[in-house]
Amino acid sequence: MSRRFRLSARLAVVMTLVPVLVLGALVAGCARRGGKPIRIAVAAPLTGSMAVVGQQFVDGAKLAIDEVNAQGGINGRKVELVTQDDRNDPKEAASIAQKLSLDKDLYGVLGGYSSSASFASIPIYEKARIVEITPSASHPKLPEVSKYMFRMWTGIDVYAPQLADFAVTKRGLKKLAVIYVNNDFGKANRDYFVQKAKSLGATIVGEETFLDGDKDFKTQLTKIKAARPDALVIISYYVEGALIAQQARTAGLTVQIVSTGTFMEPEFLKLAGAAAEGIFFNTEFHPDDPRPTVQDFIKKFKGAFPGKDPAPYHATSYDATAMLLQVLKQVNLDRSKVAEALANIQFSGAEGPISWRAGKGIVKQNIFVEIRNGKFVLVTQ
Amino acid sequence: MSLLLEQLVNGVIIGSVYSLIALGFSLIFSILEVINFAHGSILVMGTLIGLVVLQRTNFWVGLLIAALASGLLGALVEKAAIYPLRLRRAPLGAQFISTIGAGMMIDIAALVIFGPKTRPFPPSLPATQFALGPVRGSVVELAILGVSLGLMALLQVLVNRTRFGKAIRATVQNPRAAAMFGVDVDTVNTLTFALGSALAAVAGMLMGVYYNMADLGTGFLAGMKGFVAAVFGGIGSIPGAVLGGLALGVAEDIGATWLSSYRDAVAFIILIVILLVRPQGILGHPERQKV
Amino acid sequence: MRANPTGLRRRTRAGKVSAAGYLTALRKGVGPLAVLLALTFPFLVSQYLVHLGVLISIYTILTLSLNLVSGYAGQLALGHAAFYALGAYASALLTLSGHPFWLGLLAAGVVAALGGLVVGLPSLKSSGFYLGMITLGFGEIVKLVLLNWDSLTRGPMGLTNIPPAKLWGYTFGSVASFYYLALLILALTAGAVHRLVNSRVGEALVAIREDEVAAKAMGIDTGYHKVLAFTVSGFLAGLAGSLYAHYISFINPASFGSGESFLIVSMTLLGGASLGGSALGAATLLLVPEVFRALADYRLLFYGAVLILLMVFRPNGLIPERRLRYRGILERLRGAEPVSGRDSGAGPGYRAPAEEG
Repeated sequence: MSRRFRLSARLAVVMTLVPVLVLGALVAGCARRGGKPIRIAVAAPLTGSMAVVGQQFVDGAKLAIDEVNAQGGINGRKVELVTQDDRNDPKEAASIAQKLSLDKDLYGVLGGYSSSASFASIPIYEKARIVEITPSASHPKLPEVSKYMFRMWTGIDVYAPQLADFAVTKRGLKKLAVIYVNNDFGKANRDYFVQKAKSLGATIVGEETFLDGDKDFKTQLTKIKAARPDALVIISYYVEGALIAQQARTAGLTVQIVSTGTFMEPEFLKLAGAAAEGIFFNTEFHPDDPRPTVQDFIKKFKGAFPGKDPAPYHATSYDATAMLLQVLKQVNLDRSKVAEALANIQFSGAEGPISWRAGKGIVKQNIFVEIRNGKFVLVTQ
Repeated sequence: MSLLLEQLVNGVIIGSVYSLIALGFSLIFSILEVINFAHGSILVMGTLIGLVVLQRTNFWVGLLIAALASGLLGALVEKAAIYPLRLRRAPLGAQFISTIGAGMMIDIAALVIFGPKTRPFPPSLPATQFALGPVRGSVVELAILGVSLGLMALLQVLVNRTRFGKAIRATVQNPRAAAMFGVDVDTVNTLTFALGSALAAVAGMLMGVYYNMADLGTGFLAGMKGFVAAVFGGIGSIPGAVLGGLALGVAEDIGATWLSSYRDAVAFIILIVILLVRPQGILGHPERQKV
Repeated sequence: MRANPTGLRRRTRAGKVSAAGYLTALRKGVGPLAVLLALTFPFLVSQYLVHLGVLISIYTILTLSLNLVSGYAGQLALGHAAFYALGAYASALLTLSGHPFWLGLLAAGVVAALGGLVVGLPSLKSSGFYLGMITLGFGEIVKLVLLNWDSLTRGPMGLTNIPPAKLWGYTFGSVASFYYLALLILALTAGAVHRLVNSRVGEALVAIREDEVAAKAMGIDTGYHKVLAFTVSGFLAGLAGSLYAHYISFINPASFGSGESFLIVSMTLLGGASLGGSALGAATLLLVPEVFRALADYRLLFYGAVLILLMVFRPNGLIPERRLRYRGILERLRGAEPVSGRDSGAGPGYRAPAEEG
């Protein structure tokens, strides 16, 4: 018995250690070391279904940091990028903030992806006086909660009514059913959208909600189908969005789909397939945008990341990081002055000149996009 | 009324998938008395392997390869994470932790090999819709139901009509006596574990075509649902696992019609009630009190 | 040894005795040394390690509390995160609506103890694997209720801006000061658990674990003791939840899923039932991922491998409990007069934790 145990124990050791060693060696090969650089962190989903977005944050930040490092860094110190995976989970975002707050050489954080993750982490960054810039979250209250919180995306209070206006007035959709993700982003979008749509004379025939990460929406969609709407409004992130669009089609709900700008991901087209056809939404970045700043950025991006297509968050992450680095130079790496300098910044980046409204809501131009033949097509109004 | 009927159909379809997962759980539990927490991870790994094959060939080849790969993986898990502990007569809790560890390793291996992205399942079966009286259905749904029911029938035959099945039943009854009568209990354990894992992979592939995607995160809840279904029907009973899965699927969909956000809670409430009121499940035999 | 084969046996035995004596001396030394280290910790190491120290303290409380149910009473409980969650939410909601921290902390314990009572009741009818599944289900249901009771809990968005802990006018704002608060609660918990398990209640719990039927035959009110263990365990886990909420300042239902329960169970099984074991289990499972942080996700691979290998080689935990002691108790229970459950329940060991919390 004991010899057999020893044999099988040895088997267990081999079977558990072989993958560990192989993968460990792979990773160790990639490890890097540095001197005494200053650090900027990306805290975003790097694993899980939203990992694509986190990678866009990292790419955008890298692009801006490499530019500054190529010019010798800031005050002779190189800038280093730290990445932390929050899996788009507010709890992880908070505990990462707790950890990052202890780093004395950290000058700013890019993140989180969702409004909920940003709300969870900002009180902790504020205590440590570290600025947090979110390239994607759009909750209108976000910039108000702390002077250390900045957001690069237009507020929901601005873009959701614009979308409602477009859907009801321009496209003549009068009976709407809404399905939204139950979190800060989803609720705020639903509120602003429904309010505006109703004021324009549309009726809301159905409202359903779901949790971030759900995979099965058949129950909600079956109920919505029974209400016979003209259009289905999907307020969600793109993975769930793709599933909802597909499951709506299989359930025989073939009406027009209206969505939030979160759907503008090449991955969405792959996931949703034919169900993506005809969906429209508003966003603020499109590669076909003729503005020279946008075209400049796309050229730069393709030079640095051949084979990758620039997505909206590449642009906002790049702008956020470049802006932060400009401020760091300006304040001579004095961490206590970063927030104030950032609030008063004059900056022009990939998306043109940027300014903050009262309450630090960003002011930018919005554009409408429709999916035609499996491509995101710019809609000229 | 038609809303309820449609939910009923949805419930039966997804319930048949739960049944398959439950069958795997039930088989493994009845023979090894191990709660296999790596079941969901094996399901996901098998599905992702099957998906890669599917993209190059077709759905059925993908299904077969997924089952084979998962079977092999299951055998590995049994040999590395359970067999040594059994030899040592380790406590139940230790075996349970060991399967959690194995599940974690499989999850990470899947992450490293396949990346974190949610992967779309190409439309590999015709999505043709048809109506059967008031009920709408699609070929995909019919295929899911067909594969699940077919496998259950096959399993029933395997366990009741073959030599291997006899060996399994003997081992469940009394491993020591079985060994005395020439049954290689270790091999039976490993093969049963492999069989249960293969069933999980098939369930994963069916979920893939149903939801049109494969995602690393789906394993845990899928495993739990299979588990609940197994307990619901009576752990260790093949018809019980089938019935438990279908009942869970229907109960979830009907419950979700009124309270959509408590959909997953339905499964756990059923679990608690069943365990308190009738722990042997719908079709299980009353537990023998060991004194 | 080789030179003197005849003296082999005696020598070895003597060697063993002295080794055991050495170990006892070491063990006696380890305690005070550990206490000294724990107390001076924030002065010795970086902030980041103190941060980990806070987490380890919180998880040691959780592990200790689960040990009452699993380690001593031998009941498989897979929903411990539910009590942790109830405590965290009770404390956070109270302080967010303006109540003081001490009230939040107390309420956390009480609410979680009620949860423990509810989960303990099924243990009257169910045991082993079935009880494990019931507790797992309870944990998931608590999580789903927190997730869906939007008007109270803000659902998946969680509670933000939870105020820092404040006692007697002092705010535990810095990591180091919070570390001492966590350590204080841990010490109180450890003291309470120690008194409880060394009382007749503890003996009854161990008897239930070793052989429930025999324990019942001896006249132990097994149901009462099991429910009691669950309730006290819930109370202590609730305290840990309150600490966590006020430390991280943000909680959401996803913080308290089954993964969290499994983590606590793993810590319990890894360490063994003692205070040292609990601390070791908690520290190991929190530190292993941190040590391998540079390896990003791959660290979970190590984690999984560590779990399997530990279970293969040390299935009873790193510091297994002293079986002999319990065997003695059993023999006494079998041989001597039957222990009445309610009598021992009313003993001093039972009252201690409730008062100290």
